[in-house]
Amino acid sequence: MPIDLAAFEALYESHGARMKSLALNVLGNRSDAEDAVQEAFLRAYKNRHSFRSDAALWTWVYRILLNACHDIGRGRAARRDSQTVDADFAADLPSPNGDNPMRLTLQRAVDGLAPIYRDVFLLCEVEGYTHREVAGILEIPEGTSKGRLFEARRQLKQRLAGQMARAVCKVAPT
Amino acid sequence: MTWNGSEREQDVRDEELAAAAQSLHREWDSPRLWPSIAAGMRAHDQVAEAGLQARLGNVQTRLNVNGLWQGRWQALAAAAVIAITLGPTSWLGWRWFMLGPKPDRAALEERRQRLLSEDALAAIERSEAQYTQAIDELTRLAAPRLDMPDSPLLVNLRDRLEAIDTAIAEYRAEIARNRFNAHLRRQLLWIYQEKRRTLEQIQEYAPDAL
Repeated sequence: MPIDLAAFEALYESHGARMKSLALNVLGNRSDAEDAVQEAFLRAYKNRHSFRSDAALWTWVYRILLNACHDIGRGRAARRDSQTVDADFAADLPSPNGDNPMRLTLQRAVDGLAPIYRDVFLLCEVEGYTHREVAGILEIPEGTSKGRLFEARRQLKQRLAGQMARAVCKVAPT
Repeated sequence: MTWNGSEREQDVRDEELAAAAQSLHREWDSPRLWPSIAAGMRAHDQVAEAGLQARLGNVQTRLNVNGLWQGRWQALAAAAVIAITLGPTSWLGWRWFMLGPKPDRAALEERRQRLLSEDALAAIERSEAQYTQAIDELTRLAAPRLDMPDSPLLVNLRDRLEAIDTAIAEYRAEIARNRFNAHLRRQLLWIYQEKRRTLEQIQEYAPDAL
């Protein structure tokens, strides 16, 4: 079955919001996130003839999205410093669960993860994909996805515990 | 939320982490995003279509050339008829030429030199045409990459390509006015080489896109 523009539009309708959210969490600001989503769709469209029909189109486009995010992130690292990115996070978007300080703390901790752990954490824990789906997106075995999520959680808990301890020290009376 | 404690608390912390992670999911409206993506896809289709038409045009030209060769026996027959008709006249003309007054040797030499220069120039122009064709082909191959969303590198390369094309147009116009100017031709060749290098850089751009 040929993949035409309508197929990509349907994909955008069903996955666009989560794709933007994923890109936002990787890149840290809405503008870059939208650029990454746009680039992912265009790359996918231009190379649609190389798409293997035995795989799911959406997992393929997600994989391209992550590559686009990494490319944009590398380009941005050359021209912007991390302080600007933090400022972007501060100019925050509404979150369904509120709790901005905790979210910012967690966001910074997630930023500190290596990409292989960060991507699995964002896909599983933030965007709610199953290990089977994440395995399809990243082209890794399900067991590897589970292992990476475990390691991501372990590192995050360690970092968050450290940050909480520092926060307690700051507010504790001397 | 606490981030230290016993093994039982470990499970609680996983749940708390999972709950906090969900707060990282954010949604916002982007009414212009899909129209922009769709426009990019349509633009890609148009470029691809134009490339296909150009390739079809080349094939058509080749077919026309083949068609001419298929009629070569008619051409040979016509040439034979012309030779039989003009043969006696040509012999008379040759006799007149041999027995008639001889032209000035200096004028002949000058004419020969002039013809040699023309031959050399024609050879150069043929080489230039082949080089230009090769670069046109490279331009066609690079077209999809030129159509990719802007990145600082691609914008830079695209700007350079535009400047090169402008320079090529100016040099070609100048050469049309002065065909024997070797300096202009060397400059034009150098600019073409720049264009080739730029196109190759564009071709190499984002080879790991997928």
